Amino acid sequence: MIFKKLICILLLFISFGVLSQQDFNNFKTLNSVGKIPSDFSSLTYQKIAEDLKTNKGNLSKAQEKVFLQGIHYGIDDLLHSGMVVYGDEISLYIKSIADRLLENKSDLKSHLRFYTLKSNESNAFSTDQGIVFVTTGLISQLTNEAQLAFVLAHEISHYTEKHVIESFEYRTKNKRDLSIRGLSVYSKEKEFEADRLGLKIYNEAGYSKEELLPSFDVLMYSYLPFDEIEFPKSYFSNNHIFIPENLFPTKKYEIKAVEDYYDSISSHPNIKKRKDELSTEIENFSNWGDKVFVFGRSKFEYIRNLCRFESVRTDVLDANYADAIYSIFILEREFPNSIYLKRMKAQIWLGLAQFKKNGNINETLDRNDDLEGEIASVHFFLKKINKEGMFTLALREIFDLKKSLPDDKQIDAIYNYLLKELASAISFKIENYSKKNFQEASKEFLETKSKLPINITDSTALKKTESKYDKIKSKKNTDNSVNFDSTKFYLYGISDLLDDSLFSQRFAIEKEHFLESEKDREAFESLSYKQQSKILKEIKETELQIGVNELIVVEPMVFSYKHGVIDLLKSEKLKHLYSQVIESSASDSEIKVFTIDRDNLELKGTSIFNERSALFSFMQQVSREDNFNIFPVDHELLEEIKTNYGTSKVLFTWVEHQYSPRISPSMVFLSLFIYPVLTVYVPLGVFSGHDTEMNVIILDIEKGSIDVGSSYYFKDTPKKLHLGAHMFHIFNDLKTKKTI
Amino acid sequence: MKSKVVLIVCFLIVLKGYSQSNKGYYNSKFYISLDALMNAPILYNFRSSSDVYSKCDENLNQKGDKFNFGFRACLGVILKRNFAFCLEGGIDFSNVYSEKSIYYEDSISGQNLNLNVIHENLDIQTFSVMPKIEFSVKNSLLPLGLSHQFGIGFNRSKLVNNDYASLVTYQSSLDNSYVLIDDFNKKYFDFNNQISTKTFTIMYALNMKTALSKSLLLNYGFRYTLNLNSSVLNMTSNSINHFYLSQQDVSKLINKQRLYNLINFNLGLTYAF
Repeated sequence: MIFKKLICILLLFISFGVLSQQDFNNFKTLNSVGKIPSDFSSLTYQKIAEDLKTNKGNLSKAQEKVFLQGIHYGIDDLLHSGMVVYGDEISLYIKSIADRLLENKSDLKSHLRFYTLKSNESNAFSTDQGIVFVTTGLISQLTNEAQLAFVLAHEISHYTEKHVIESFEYRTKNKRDLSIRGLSVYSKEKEFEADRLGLKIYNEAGYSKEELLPSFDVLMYSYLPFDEIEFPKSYFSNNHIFIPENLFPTKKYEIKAVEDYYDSISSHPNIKKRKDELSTEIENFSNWGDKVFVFGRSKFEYIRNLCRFESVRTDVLDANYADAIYSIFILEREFPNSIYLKRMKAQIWLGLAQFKKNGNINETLDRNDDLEGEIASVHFFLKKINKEGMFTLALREIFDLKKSLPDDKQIDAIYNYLLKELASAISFKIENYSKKNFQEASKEFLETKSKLPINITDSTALKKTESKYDKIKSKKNTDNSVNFDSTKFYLYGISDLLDDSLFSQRFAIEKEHFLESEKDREAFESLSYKQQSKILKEIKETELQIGVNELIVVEPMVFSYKHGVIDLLKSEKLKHLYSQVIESSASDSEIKVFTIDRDNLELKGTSIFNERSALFSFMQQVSREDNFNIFPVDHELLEEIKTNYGTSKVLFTWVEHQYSPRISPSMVFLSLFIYPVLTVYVPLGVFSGHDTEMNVIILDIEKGSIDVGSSYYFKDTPKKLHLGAHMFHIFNDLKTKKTI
Repeated sequence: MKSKVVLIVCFLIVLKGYSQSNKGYYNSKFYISLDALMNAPILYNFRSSSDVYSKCDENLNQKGDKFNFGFRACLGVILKRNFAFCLEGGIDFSNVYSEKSIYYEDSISGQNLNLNVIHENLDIQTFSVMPKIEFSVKNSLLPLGLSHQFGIGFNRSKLVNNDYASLVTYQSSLDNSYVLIDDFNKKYFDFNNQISTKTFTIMYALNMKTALSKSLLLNYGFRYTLNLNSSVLNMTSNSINHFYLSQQDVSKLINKQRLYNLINFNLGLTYAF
C-alpha cells in the first residue's frame, strides 16, 4: 500500500517536472520563480550596515565602507537590471551542480546563491556577498555538465579565497576602476589559484578529468556563435523570392583566436598557460571519477537549449540582428516549428528594415575587420543588400511568417509595424514591383531573348556599341551574355502580395496616413518663422498633456552627486522619498498609479519582479533608438502587463541633484574692489549652487515608443515638498488632454 | 498719488488677462509674501563723517547706528510657472544724523567761536510701492525655489516728528576748550513743517523660497536697491552752510541715507493659493 502511494507521488512529481519544462515550440523567456530572495528584496544601505559588522581582512574602516558601498550598490544594480533571474530552471540546475560540488561543505552550500544572468557574454563570476552569476551565453556554449561544474568550482574558489577583497586592495592602491566588472578581474596568480582549488572541488565531486581542458576551448571561442555551421546562400530564397548569390561572400573568414596569445599586459594568463598549469595539477590527483553528466545528458541539453533560445532574445533586445539570424538558423534545425523563433525572426526583419531605413544598419552589424567564421556570411549579406532589397526581404519574410501563423497576434502586430515603415519609405515604391516572381520574369525574358535576332542578343556584337559603363555593369552580371538583371531581384519578390487584397488595403491605409502627415508637415513648413515658433512653443508647453488617468510607474531613481561623484547612500534614501512623493502627488492629482518598485518587491513578490524586468528590457530597447517605434522583445509579457493594469502607459522617472556653489576665489578677490559686486556675487553663487533635474518618460507599450519625454531643470533642493510640487504639476499635465 | 493709481490700474489689467491654465507651486495662482528687511548701514556710516548719537537720560551718548529694518507685503500673480507679476508695499525704519561745525564770530564779545552742533538720530519712515516681476529658471514653479525679482517703484520718506535732543558746543579760540551750550535746542532746528522726500527705486532681489507646507513657504534672500531722486547729484556735497538744520538739509540727509541703503537681507513667509 505504502509502495503504491510512493509510486503515485513519484509519478506526480515526474509529471509535474515534465509539465514545468518549457516546450520550445512555445518558448517563453525565462522568468523568476518562487519566493523572492533577500538579495533582491533587502535595501542596499541595510545590507551595507549589516556587512559593516563583520571584519573585512586588512581593510581599514574607511576602505571597508568604500568597498562595501561599491560591491553592494554594484551588485544590487545588476540584480535589479532586469537581466537576472532567480528560481528558474537554469538557476536551479546550476544550484544542483553546485550542491554536488559542495556536498561535504554544508556551510558554503547553504550560504552561496546562484542566479542566471541573461547575457550573451560567456561569463561567470562570484561576489564577496556569496552570489555566483552564470550567464546564459556561457551555458549555451558548453558541451557538457562537467564543464559547467568546473566553471562553478573555479568561481567558488574565488569566493572562498576572498579574491575580490584582494582585487579591491590592489585596485585602490593602483587607482584602478573599482566597478564590479573591475573587481572581478583578478591577477594571473589568483586565476591559477582558482583553477587549482577549483580542480580539487571538481575532482572530489567525481567529474571526469577529460572535460577539463576542453573547458578552456569554450572560453577561447566563446565570442563565436554556439555552433559553427555553414550558412547556405539559398537560406533567404524561396518560391517567391530569389536572392542572388553574389550578395554573399566568396571567401571564408578565418577564425583568428589562438591559445598562446601575448598576455603580458593582460590580467588573465593565456589559455595555453592555463591549460599547461592545469595539466600538471591534474596529474597530482589519482582518484579521478568518470562523470560527465550527473543529472543526465538530456537535462543538460534541455538547459543549454533554454540558454540558446534566451541568446536569441538577448540578441534581438540588443539589436544584434545578424547574430540572432544565425542562432535561429541553428536552432531551427532542431525546432523547425517553434513559434518563438518565428516571432523573433519577424522582429529581426522589422528591426533590420527600420535600421536600414534610418541609415544606421551598420550599428547592428560587425565591422568587416571583425568578421570571423560562418556567421560572417550573414553580416556580409546584411551589409551588402541595398535598401530596396532589405525592405522587400523583410516584407517577404514577415508576410510568409504571418501566412504560416495566421492567428498569431504578435506577428500580425509586427506586420502592421512594417507596413507603416514601408508606407513612409521613399525608396519603397509599390508601383515598381512586378506581378511576376523572379523565375517567371526570368523565363519570360529568356523566351523573349530567344525570339530576337542573334546579332541583338549576341554579347560580342553588342559589345561593339557598349560604353565603358555598360561594360562594367555587364561584367557584374554572372556571365558575358545578355542576361536578366539580378541586381533588381527584389522587384520580383512580392508578386503574390500584390494580388493579396488584404495587403493592398492595409498598405493603402498606411500610405494615406503617411501622405496626410506629409501634408501637415508641408503646411507647417509653409508658415512664417514666427508662426512656426508659436506652434512649436505651444506643442512644447502642452507636450505632457496626453490625457491619462492611470499609469504604471517603474522604479523611480535618484542620483545625488557630491563633488561630482554619486553619493550612493544619499541617493538611495532620496529614492525612497521620491517613491513616496510620486504616490502622494498622484493621489492629489487623482491619477491612479501602479508602482513597480524595489521597495514593494517583498510585499508584492516575484510577479512584480518579472513585470519590472520586462519593462526594463523594453525601456532598454526604446532608449537605444528614438527615430522609430521599436517592437518590444517581450511583447507577450507586456501585453499581459497591459491587461493586468488596464493601461499601456508606463512612467519612468529619475532625478539628478548636485550642490556645487559657483564661487570662484579669483572672482571674490576681484569683487572686493568693486563694491557691491561681492554682495551680489556670493549670494548668487551660494543660492544657485543647487541643480536639480527631474526627468520623465512615458512609454506606450502598445505603440512601442516613447509617448513623451521631458526634463525639468530647477535650482532647488530635492526635498519632499519640492519634488512633490513638480510631480503634482506633471501629473496634472498628464491628466489633461491637449486641445491643439 | 497719480502714480499709485496708475500702478493699481496696471495690476488690475494684468489680473484680467490672467489665464486660469497657468499655475505655480501646487497649482497656486497667487501668493502673498510678508517679509522683514534688515540692513546694516555700513556704507552710509562709512561715507558720513559724523558720529551717531542717541538720547539717554537727558544727554546725548555716542552710539553706533547698527541696523535699519523694514517690512514688505507683496501680492503676486503667477502668470507662468516661472514668471509672476507682483505689487509690493512696505515700510522702512531708518535714521539719519548730521554734525555741523560753523565758524562763528560773536558780534558782542568779538570772540571767534567754532560752533559744533550735534543732535539725536532723526527717525525716518519710508513708505514704498513697487510693481515688480519675479522670474526663475524655465521649469521652476513659482513661488518655490530660487527666483530673481526686478522692480521699479516709488518711496516717500518722512521725518518722524519727535522731540529730538541736540547739543551745541563751541571751541573757544582762547584756550581751545569745548563749552557746552544747553539751550540751543529749538533754535537750531526748523521742523515746524512736515519734512518728506520722494525717491525713485530700482530694485533687484535674489530670493530663495523653501516649502514648509503645500501652501506656506519660507523666504530668504537679498535685495539690492538703488534709490534716486532729482537732488541726487548735489546731495552729497556739504551744502549745510547755515547755522541751523533746515528742512532742506533733512531732506538731503534722507536722500543720502536712501542712496546708501543698497543691500537688505529679507526673511519672511509666503502663502501661495
